[in-house]
Amino acid sequence: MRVPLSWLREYVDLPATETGRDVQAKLVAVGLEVETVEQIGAGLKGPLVVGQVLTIEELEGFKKPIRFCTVDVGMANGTGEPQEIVCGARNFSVGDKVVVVLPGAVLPGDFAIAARQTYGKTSHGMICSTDELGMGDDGTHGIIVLPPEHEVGTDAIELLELVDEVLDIAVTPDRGYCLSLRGVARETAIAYGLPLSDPALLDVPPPNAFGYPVKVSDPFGCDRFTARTVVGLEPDARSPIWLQRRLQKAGMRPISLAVDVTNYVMLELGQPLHAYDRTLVDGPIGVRRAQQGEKLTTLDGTARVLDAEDLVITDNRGPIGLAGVMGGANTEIADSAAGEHTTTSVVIEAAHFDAISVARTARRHKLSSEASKRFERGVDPAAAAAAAQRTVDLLVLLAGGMAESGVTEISAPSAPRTIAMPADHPDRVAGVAYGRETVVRRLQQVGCDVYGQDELIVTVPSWRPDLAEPNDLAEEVIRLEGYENLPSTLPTPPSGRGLTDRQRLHRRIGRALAGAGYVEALSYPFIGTAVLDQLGVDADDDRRRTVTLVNPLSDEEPALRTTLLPGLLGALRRNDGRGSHDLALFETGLVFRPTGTEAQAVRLPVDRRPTDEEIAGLDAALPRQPRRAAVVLAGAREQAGWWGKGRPADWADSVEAARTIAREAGVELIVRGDQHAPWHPGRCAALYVMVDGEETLFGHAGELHPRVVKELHLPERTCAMEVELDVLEQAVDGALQAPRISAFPVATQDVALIVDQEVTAADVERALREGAGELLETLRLFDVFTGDQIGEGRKSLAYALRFRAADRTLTVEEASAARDAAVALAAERTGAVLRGA
Amino acid sequence: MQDTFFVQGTTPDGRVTTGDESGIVLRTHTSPVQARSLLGRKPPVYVVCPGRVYRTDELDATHTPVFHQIELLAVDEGLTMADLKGTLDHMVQALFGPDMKTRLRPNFFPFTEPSAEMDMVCYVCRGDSVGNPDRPCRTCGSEGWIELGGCGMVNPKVLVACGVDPEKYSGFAFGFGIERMLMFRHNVEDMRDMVEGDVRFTRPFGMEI
Repeated sequence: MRVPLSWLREYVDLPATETGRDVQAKLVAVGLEVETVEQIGAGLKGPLVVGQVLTIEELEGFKKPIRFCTVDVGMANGTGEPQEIVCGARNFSVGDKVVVVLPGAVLPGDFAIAARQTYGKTSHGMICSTDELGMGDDGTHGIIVLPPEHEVGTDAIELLELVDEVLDIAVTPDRGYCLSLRGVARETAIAYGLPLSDPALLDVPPPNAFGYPVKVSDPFGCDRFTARTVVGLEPDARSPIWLQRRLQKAGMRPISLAVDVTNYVMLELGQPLHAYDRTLVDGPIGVRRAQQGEKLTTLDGTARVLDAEDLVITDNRGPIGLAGVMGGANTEIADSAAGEHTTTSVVIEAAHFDAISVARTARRHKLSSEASKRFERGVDPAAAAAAAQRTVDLLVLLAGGMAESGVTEISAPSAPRTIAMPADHPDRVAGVAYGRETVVRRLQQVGCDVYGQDELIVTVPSWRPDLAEPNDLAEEVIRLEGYENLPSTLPTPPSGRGLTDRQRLHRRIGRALAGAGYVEALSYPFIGTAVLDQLGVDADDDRRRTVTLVNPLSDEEPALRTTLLPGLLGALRRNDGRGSHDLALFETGLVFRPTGTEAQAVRLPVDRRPTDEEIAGLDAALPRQPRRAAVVLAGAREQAGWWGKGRPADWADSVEAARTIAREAGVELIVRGDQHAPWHPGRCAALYVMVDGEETLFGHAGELHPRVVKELHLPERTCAMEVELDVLEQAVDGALQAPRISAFPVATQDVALIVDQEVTAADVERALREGAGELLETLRLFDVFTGDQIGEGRKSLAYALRFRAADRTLTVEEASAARDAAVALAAERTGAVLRGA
Repeated sequence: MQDTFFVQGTTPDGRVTTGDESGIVLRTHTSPVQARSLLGRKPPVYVVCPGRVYRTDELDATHTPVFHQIELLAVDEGLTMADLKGTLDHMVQALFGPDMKTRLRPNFFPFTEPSAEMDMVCYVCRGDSVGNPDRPCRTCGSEGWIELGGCGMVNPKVLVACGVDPEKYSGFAFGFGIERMLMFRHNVEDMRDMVEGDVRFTRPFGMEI
């Protein structure tokens, strides 16, 4: 809501010294968000006067038509001689009254005016457009032609009200009444402790039976409808400058007198109005719900197909307006300039429509108007008659119209709304002892009637539909007493329970990965099918079953991620492209994995706690959203330096990242070879953990498939790991059981095993462990070797085995026997041959 | 709400929904956690909940469609707006230093009543830039205050919907954006730096900030 300070002063007698910034501070304190104070005409300096065009000479030979004019500016130029001015606009004729700026003046934007040579002539000033005077672009690109009654030489700064301040207020949804000068003036009056001249206090004739016939068939959708008729409007009447200027400053464009007047009254009183051309309305006006599929072309020229829930205004032919949103083109007011038909009599509608109905219609038709904005937030139903009267008065005054004596007023019966509240309730909400007297005074200031002693009975004013509960009234008291005056106290909460096990685990994992050199990257969770194709994900893979958004930011990425890899790989690529090549990134976050068997969402009650079954029903509508962790690696894992050559990141690093995570949960990781997109089949590990005695898939790690690397433009040999932390949580097996420490000596045995290249170290290790039996304490792969000695397609894996018994020193024979058993099982399971054997 | 991401649903007859019919959205703030907290435990309840939230803003220097909020909810006997104010003061002092303070301005949120917008003294200029054109402050636009987020007394209707007796208990809540806080505290000029995952931006922050 844009509020010109000069207009506001009409209703509140503010001290002359108060600036827009002063008023802003006061209004902000009582809860009106005054976002800016616009200084209109800042820096403007005259002489700027009314002139009359005496002669026009068309200059030839230039790229665009140019006029050399002489203009009578009276004594404003000191001589009374005609002023010679060059002008590029063409929308004026000899005899027209125009606005002339003379040399020595300064226009907004620090535009100093001086006599200057142009188009072979000397121009002593300018004939002005709205744009140049800071009045806003009127869309004509022409100069201002004033009504003929203004005298030559009159100061145009004052005439056009060019200097003003405009408060721009972001009105919150509960304060619909502040979408009007009347509402903002009320708050201003309270903030300054000054009386308000309420512009809605008008003498309104009582309704009678001979007004324009109106039939409301839906009294819930429309609980009030006032219709008034004005006839004999002068076809050539134009909005006076003061009215146009107020509309412009408030951000509306002047259109025609009748339309301008309805807009003006809406801005003044907050009541949206509509003027129908009476000769175009066929029979009685009706208010009803639309029939499904009915058609209406609205004033914006859009043909609309109506919904059965839309509330419409009708005449004998059908809809002539979307109630509270926008009128129809078929009864539009016609200006004299517009064509053959000119409006000379109007029916004025001042009605009150249901807020929710208007909001739904506006949203359904994607049509937000000044009217719908107001109805959605609540219009004062009691102001309808006054607004109609004010419109009638202005049309009579400005257009020479005559008000017909018929007054139609249809209203559904309604009782004033009252709220019972203990007098100390605001005190208890605020933690401040205001006392009953202050509470009552503040409530009366906002327009409430208050009765009662300890228990107050508060009747709320018609323009405050938002006041419905005791806390609403408490807010009124507290805001007017000043939020800034609230004391600052600290509550004493009971001791907390701290983080849950799950939260602590997630934090440990993040720290462990960061400690291992990974940098966290939080990517957006939006993906499209393209990236799943690039990752080589099969058509029937679960990762293609996505949660999809109705209104995604990008149509390319309408779905929520089912894996963390697309986002993380995107971050990797971005870093690589910016010159960081040695990269280790991690992310933990949710993925969204619908099963397709989710229930329909249920609407929970709000008047009581929902039952556990109802809550479970809601939860059943949601997709599974497990938390995952992922890492990606490229370039060097260890930098080269004086300490050595460095080492590129490889698949083993990605497996180690999973081990780092599992370790934080005290869980052993089981690693198996696998084939799973987007990993390279020979360098892909499936990762398992034990959950309730079952091996459960935890995730995958390894080197990405070269095709994926190419498709996604990633650095060569990029590695990745992704695991599901919810699985890890299930694998956590209660409190750690302390190990029994043996003090007997350790027996060490090394073995080198030759296996086929395809055999994974993980399988060999598992066989060794199982074969070695209970005496095995640790096992470690310390070397991998390929070469001619081993043979084509073969590799040698060297392991260090440590044996120890709890109750004795092992003999060499015992250790050797355990080692042999381990090798034997590895040979049986994996075809391993002892090297050198 | 106009800045909400709506999730597609499927009707029983297999039609894909296009509006808000699925009843599922991406949360635009962390307040659902408040409701879940109240449903899951008996007062007194004092919780702090950080989380990811989603709004249909295009990414630019000061907006990101995916960001983080942190929210506080306190429900107990006799809690007042003065307690809310004190808790906010305590928080900004913990985050920004002992001489920080907050300011409340009336505002509207459906789930709190009374509601307020909370500002804190500008972390950079501490208010010195106000009315001092020689020393303008880019962080607060020489306003002296920085808008942090919304707060208020829990609307008694919310308590009722969570099975808490509003005659016995009252509560307060506030929430603010973590990225925004990070911008002020660490002088981050462009929101995009926080979402792109460039290691040169992230590394200096170490393991905890």
